[in-house]
Amino acid sequence: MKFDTIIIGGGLSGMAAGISLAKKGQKCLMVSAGQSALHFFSGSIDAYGCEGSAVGSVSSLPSCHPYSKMGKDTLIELTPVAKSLLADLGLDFVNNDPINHYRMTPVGLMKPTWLTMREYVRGSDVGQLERWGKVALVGIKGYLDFNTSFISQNLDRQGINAVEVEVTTPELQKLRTNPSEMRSTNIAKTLVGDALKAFAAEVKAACPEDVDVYLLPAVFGIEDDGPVKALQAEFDKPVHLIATMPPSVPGIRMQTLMRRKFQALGGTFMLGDAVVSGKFEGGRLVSVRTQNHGDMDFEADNFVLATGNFMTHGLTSDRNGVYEAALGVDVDYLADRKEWTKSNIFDDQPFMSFGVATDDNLHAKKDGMVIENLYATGSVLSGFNGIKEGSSTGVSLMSGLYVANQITKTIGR
Amino acid sequence: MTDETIKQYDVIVIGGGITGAGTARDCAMRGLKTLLVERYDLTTGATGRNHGLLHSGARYAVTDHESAEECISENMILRSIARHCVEETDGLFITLPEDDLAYQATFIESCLRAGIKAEAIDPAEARILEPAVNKDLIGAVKVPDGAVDPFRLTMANVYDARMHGADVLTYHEVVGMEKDGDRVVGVKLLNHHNHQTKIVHAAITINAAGIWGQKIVQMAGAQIGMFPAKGALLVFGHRVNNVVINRCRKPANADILVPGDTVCVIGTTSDRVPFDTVDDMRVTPEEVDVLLREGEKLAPCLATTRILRAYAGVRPLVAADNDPSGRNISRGIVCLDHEERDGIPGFITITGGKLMTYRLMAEWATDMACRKLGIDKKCATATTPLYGSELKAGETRGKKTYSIGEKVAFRAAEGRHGTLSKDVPKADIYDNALVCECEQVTVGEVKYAIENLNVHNMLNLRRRTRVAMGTCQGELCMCRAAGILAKSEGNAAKAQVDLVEFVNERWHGMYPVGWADTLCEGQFTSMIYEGLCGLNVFDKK
Amino acid sequence: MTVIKNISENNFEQCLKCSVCTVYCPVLAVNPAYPGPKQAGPDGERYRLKDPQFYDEALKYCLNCKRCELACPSGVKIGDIIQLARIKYSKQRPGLREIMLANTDIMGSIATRMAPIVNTSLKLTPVKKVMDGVLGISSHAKFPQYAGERFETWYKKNAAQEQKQYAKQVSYFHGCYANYNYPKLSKDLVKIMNAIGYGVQLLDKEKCCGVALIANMQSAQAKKQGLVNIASIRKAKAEGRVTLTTSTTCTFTMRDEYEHLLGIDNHDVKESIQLATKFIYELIERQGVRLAFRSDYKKRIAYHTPCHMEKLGWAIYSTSLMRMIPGVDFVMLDSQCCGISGTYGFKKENYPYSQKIGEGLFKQIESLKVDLVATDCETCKWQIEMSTTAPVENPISIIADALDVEATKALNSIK
Repeated sequence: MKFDTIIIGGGLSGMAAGISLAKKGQKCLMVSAGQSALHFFSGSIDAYGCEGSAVGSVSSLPSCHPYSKMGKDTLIELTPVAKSLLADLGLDFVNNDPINHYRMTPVGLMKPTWLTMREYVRGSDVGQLERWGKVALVGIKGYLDFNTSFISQNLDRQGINAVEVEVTTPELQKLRTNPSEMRSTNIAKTLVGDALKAFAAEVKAACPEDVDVYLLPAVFGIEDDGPVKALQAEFDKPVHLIATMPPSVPGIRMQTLMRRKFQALGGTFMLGDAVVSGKFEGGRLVSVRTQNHGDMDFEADNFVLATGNFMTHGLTSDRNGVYEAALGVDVDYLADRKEWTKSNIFDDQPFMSFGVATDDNLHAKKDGMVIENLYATGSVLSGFNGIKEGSSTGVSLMSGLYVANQITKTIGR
Repeated sequence: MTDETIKQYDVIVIGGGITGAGTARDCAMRGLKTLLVERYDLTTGATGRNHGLLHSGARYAVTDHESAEECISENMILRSIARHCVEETDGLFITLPEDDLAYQATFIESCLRAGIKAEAIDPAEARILEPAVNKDLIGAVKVPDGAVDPFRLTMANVYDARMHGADVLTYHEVVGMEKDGDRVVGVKLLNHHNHQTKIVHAAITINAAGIWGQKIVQMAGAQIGMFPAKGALLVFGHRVNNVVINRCRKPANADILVPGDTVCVIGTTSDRVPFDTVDDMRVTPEEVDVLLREGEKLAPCLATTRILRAYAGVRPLVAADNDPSGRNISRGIVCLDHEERDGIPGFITITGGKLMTYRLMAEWATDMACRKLGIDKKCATATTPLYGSELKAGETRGKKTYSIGEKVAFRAAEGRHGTLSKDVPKADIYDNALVCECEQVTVGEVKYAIENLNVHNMLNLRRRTRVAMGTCQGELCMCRAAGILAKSEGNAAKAQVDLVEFVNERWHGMYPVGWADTLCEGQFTSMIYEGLCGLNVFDKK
Repeated sequence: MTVIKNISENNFEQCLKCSVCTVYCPVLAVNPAYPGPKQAGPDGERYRLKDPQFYDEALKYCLNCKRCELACPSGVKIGDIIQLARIKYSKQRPGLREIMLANTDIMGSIATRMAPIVNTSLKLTPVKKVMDGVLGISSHAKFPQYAGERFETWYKKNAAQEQKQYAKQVSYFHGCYANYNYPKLSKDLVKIMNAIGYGVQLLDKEKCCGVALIANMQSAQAKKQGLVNIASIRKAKAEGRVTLTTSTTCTFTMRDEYEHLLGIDNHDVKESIQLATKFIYELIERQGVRLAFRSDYKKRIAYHTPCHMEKLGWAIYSTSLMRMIPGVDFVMLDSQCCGISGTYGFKKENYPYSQKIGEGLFKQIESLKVDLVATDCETCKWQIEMSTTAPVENPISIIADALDVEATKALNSIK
C-alpha cells in the first residue's frame, strides 16, 4: 500500500505533522500503537519552562537540543503556524507572547508555560493570578484525583483564600458505586446535558452567594468543549478549571479533535497497530510492516517517527541497552547502565535525554547513516529532558510542524 | 527545648522492629506497664527488609542445629498465633544439575534431627507442585516453609501490646540514657515531629534496636560488637511461585524465592558493610546482576517477569564477647544482662536472632525483666493468638468462600488485617472507593490505618496497608492517599512535603532496576509529579 | 536488537497503570457494576494469581470488544486477560438460554428447516414474552430471520459443479449467519470471486467458529469446533487454497481467539484465514486484478467499523474497496461499539446497556441520512437495523451489487 507520508505515532507531534501534511494534500497514513501522552495533558503547551521568554532561551541551549537543531528563527516562523493549527481544531488557547505565563497544576502550584486553554486558571506570574475576590474551590464528592487540600494550601500561599466546597449529584453517586471508576473521564461522560445543569445547580447551592469566581476540576467536555461552555453559561460569575490527575479530559478532547481533523483531511488512522520493521535501502526507508498486516508493505516517500519516549514505548530498554522500538534506528544513550539514573528522582535523570539520534534536520540515523526520508519528532528525540525543562509539549508540537515543513520542501524540489 | 514531663513505666522497650514489638507485647501481657519507643517508623530496619520467609529451619539444619530447632518450633507457633500474617505455602529445596545431589541426604537427615519434616519428592512431582520451578531440577525436598509478612506481624504485635495497655511512641529517638549511678532508670527521647525532648523513666530498659542497639549500649556506658551484614533482595511484580523455592546446597547468594502477598522476592546477597553505612543501604548493579543470575536458576520465568524494586537490609550480627574481631559471629539469640555483664543494672539487650525467632527472643528478654522486677508470670505469647488472628467458630483458614459481588478489596483487607478488617469502614460508597488500585486499598482502609495503626505519613501508611506497593509503585494512589492524610491531619503543607519524600522513597527502590517497564514507570512518575504537578519544588535535596 | 515484544505470559505486568483503557471501555460508560478493563484485567490478574478466590463474576459484563487493547499504550492484552480469567475461574455454568444462544449451528439447522414458522413465532408477542420471562432473552431484541434454504444446500445444488472450472481456487468459511440467515452474502462472494477468475470451494467440514460459545461459558465445546475448523483450513491450505471469510468476528475468532483463549495451535494457518475484502484488495494491488462497476449504482454509504475489525486493523481494505465504486458517496462513521457484541445484547439484563452503548452510533447514522450502512459483522448489522432506520449490508454485498460482472471478467481476461 502506497502513501505520500507515513507517520508512526499518533500523539501531539505525529498529529501536528500529519495534519499539516494532509492539509497540503498529501496522502497520509498514521499508525498509532495505543493512545498517546495527550491523555496526561496539563491543559497547556509548555514551550520552555523559564521565566520570561521561552524562545529567548533557545540560544543558550546545547547544540544537541531539538530546539537548537530547528533553530531560533525557524521556531519564530513556526509559532503562528502552531497557533493557527490549534485554532483550526477549534481549540481556544491563550498566550502572553513573547513572555511565558503560568498555568495552575493539579495541586495548585504555578508552572511557566506558553499556551493555555482559555477556560483554565492562569497567571501572568507566580502569585499574580487574576484579581479574584471571593473564590470557591469546588471538589466533587468521592472524586479522588482532584486534591482540593493541596490546591487550597497553595492558593493560600499565593494570598488567595478559597472556600472549599464539595458537591455531588445522583448521577455522580451512581458513578461512585464503582470503587475504581470515578475518574475524570467517567465524570466528563456523565456531566452532560441535564446532568450538567443539575450539577451546576448543586454547585451554586453549595457555594456562598457572594462568590466572585468558581474553580472546578477540568472534567468537562471529553469530545468537544460544548459542556465547558454550557457549564459557564449556568453561572453569572467566571468559572475557571484546574487540571486533574490523569487521565486528562481536555487532552483527550484535543486528541479526538486532532484525529478527526486528520481523518477529515483524508488521512488514514490505524489505532492499536504497531510498526514492527522497516526496509532500508541506500540511505532511505522504503517501506514498513506492522503487527496487524503481515506481509503488507506500507510504502511512502517520507516517514515520520513520532512514537514518544519510554513511557509510550517509542523507546525500550533492557539490562544491556536502549533501543528504538519500531524501526531499530540509532539511539543516543549512555552505555553504562549505572549512569542512566540518579538516586533522587527530581534530579536531572540522564535517561530522560536518551532518544533517537538525528542530524540537524531531524533525520534519523540507522547504523550511523543518515536516513534522508525518515524524520524523528517529539519525545522520541534525544538531547533534551522535556519533563525537567518543561518543554515536552512544545518540542512535540514544534518538531512535528518543522518536519512537515521539511517534507513539504522536498516535494517542492 | 525540653519538656520535662516524666512518666514512670515498668519497662521501656527500645526499637520498633519485630523484636521490640514482640517484647512490648510479652511485657504488656505479663502485666508490666510498658512503653515501646521507635526513632522512626515501625519496621524501618531489618524487619522491613528481608525475605518475609517463614523459615522451617531447613536452611540452617546442616550448619546450625540450634537455629533450626528454634525455627521449626516458632514456625509452628506463628501458624497458630499469627494466622493473618502467615501463608502456609510449603517450601522446596531443589537440586540443580550443577549441584551435588549427595548433599540432599545430609540435608534431610539434619532436618529430621531438628524435628523438621523433610521429605524427598520426585522432580516430576515438584514440577507439578510448583510449575515455576526450574524444570531441569534433579532432586527436590519438601519442607514446611511458608511466607510471613513482617510489616503485618510487627503491627499486629504492636496493636496487641497496645490492647494490653502498652504505650507506643514512634518517631521518638533515644538520644540519651537516664542513669542513677550505674543504673539505667530511663531514656531521653527526641520527638522528631516537634523536635522536643522528654525524659521517661522505667525500672527496666530493654534494648531491642537491632543493629542500632550498639549505639544504645554505648549510651548506657558499655560496649558491644555488632557487625552489619548487608543483604540485597529484588521484588517481582507478581507471584510467579506459590511454594517457596530454595537451593539444596550450603547457603549462598540468591538461593531463596519467596511468594508473599501479591509479589515474590528473591534474595539475598550477604556482605559485611561498615557500620556508618547502615542508615543508607543502596543496592548496586552488581548485586542486582547476581540476584537475577541466581534467581533465574530457581525459576527461569523470572527472566521475563517485571522487577518492581530492589532493597537491602542489615542483619545485626553480634560478635561473641570473647572475640571483638567479629570472626566468631553468633547467628543465634543474644540476650545480655548488663547488670551481670557490665555492672549496669536496669538494662537488658536482646539482639542477634532472626525474624522467625522474635517471639522467643521477646520471651527471653521479658523473662529476664520479670525476674529482675520480681514478677512471676509465665509467658503466654506462644498460645495466645494476636489480635486479628483469633479463630472464629467454625472458620478454617483459607477455605472461606466469598459470595459473588463481594468486593475484591474487602477480601484483600481481610488478608491484611485478619479479623480486625471488621473495623475497616465499608458502609458507604465513598469509603469503598479505591485509593490504590493495584493493591486494592480503599479509602476506608486508609482511614482505618490512620486511626488505628500509628500512621503519621505516607511511608507508615504504605507499610500498614500496601498502598503504593503494587505494580506501579504508586502512580495515582500516592496523591490520593496524601489527600486523605492532609484532610485527616488538617495539614496540607506537611502532606505535600511528605508526598514528595514518598515519591522519592519509591524511586530509591526502582532506580537500581531502572530498565524495561520500571524505567517506563519512573518516567511516568516524573511526568506526573514533576511535569504535570510541579511538586519537585518541595524536594529537600 | 532485543526489543521486548508481547510474548510473555506476564503481559499484564507491562501495564503502567495509566488508566487510558478505562476511557475507551464502552461498558464502563453505561454500567457501573462492571469493574472496568484495568481492574478486571491487569489489576485483578495479580490478585487472581495470588488466590483464585479473588475472581469477580462481574467480569461477565465485559463485551470482549478489545477496545481497551487498542487504547493501551503498553500493548497489554487486557481483553484476553479478562476472557481467560472467565474461562479459568468463573463458576457460573451456562443455562438453557446460554446454550440456545451460543449453539448457533444447531439452532440454525433446526430453524432453517422450519423457517416460516420460526420467523413468525419469533415475532409473536406470546413467544417473545416466554423468551423474556422464562429464558431471559430480551423481548425488545429482534431476531435475525432464518432463510428457507441454507447456503450450503444451495451451493451443492447450484454452484459446486461450476466452481471447479476456475483455474484458481479459494475456500470459503461462510459462518452461521451467511449459511442460515443470509445466504445472499455467500452468493455475493461467489459472484465477485468468479468474476475475477476464482472458484469458491466449501471447507471439508465447517463448524460454527465458536465465538458465542466462548462468550457463553462453553469454551470446551468451542475448542472442539475450533479444532475441526482449523483442520479443514489446514487441509485447504495443503491443497493450495486460502480460506476466505465474510465475517470479521469469525475471522478474528479463528485467527486470534483460538490461539489466545482456547489454546489451539493455528500458527501455520493463521495467514491462510483471510477476510475476503483484504484478499481482493491485495489481488488488486499486487496482481493487477481490476474491478469494473456499474455506472447506475449510486449510493451514499456510511461504514461502521466492527470492534473486532478495529482489532484486526483491516477496515482499510473494506473501505478502500468501497471507495473504488465510482457511484459511492462514502462516509466513515466514528469508531464506536454498537453494543450488541454477538449474543450480549440479546440477554434481557444487558439489553438496556447494549442500547445505551450504541446510542452515539445510532444518532450519527440517523443524522447522516445515508442510503446504506456498510459493516463487516453480522451482529453489528442486526443491532444497527434493530436500532436505526438504515438498512445494513456487508461490503462484499455492496461490491457485488455494484459490480459489472461482464466488464470485470473482460478486464481480467476471464472467460
